[in-house]
Amino acid sequence: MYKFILDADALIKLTKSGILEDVCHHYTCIITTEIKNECVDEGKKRLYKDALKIEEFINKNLLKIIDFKKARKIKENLGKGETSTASLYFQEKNSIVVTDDSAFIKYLEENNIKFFVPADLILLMKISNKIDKKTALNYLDKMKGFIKKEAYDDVKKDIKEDLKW
Amino acid sequence: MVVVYPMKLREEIIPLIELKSKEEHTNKAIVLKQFLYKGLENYVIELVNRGRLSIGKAAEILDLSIYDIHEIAKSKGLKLSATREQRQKSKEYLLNK
Repeated sequence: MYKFILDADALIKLTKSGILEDVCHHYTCIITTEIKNECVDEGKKRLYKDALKIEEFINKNLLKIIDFKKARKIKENLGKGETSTASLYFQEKNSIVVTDDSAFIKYLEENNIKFFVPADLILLMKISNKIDKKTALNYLDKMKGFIKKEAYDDVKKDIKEDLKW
Repeated sequence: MVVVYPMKLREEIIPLIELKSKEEHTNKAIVLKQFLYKGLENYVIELVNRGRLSIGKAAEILDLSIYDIHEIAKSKGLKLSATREQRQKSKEYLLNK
């Protein structure tokens, strides 16, 4: 079973698409305290409704908070949330980072760290037969406003083509 | 931390600074800071869009939330996400489980 470590950007996009609860039910989803601060605490202060949804998933223990024990020295162009996510990756064996942040992905690629973009979690759920094509396309459409057109088109094509392992 | 930084401004812009400060019932230093911050915001969002700065770091620099960064990007017609090549890599990881 997959174990995902989500950064703030991925968490927000998965919440907006409506797929987060489904993902959390089928896979282990972890965030750090820093990500909780960014998505829940800061979001609530500014009255973003998605912050309440994320808090609900944490309270239901669908999203687990795990803190890293050893902080890594990471690049200066990354924030506290991304840094904590990468630090936790080195601690949590067989995990995959979920992010849609281009600068963070560059760091992950440089360090051969496996990652998924949030839209590919929709594809994963579809390939694993956890959701049907119509549902997958519906989730992707809700994410459309937050991902680059070419990435959206590519994922949409992959969902429609019934890709298999 | 706050840093005091001296700078020279062209005389011609001072009346505009004064006008804005009167209209908004604030002082000229705040008006200057607002202009500076607006320019900084545009620059930071552009850096995020080009993958040179993370969204989290942008939020820290501008003292905003991640949600705010996405809202600002949206207002500028930008979508802050992985590039096509990065998404392809993600798909490769997914298919070669």
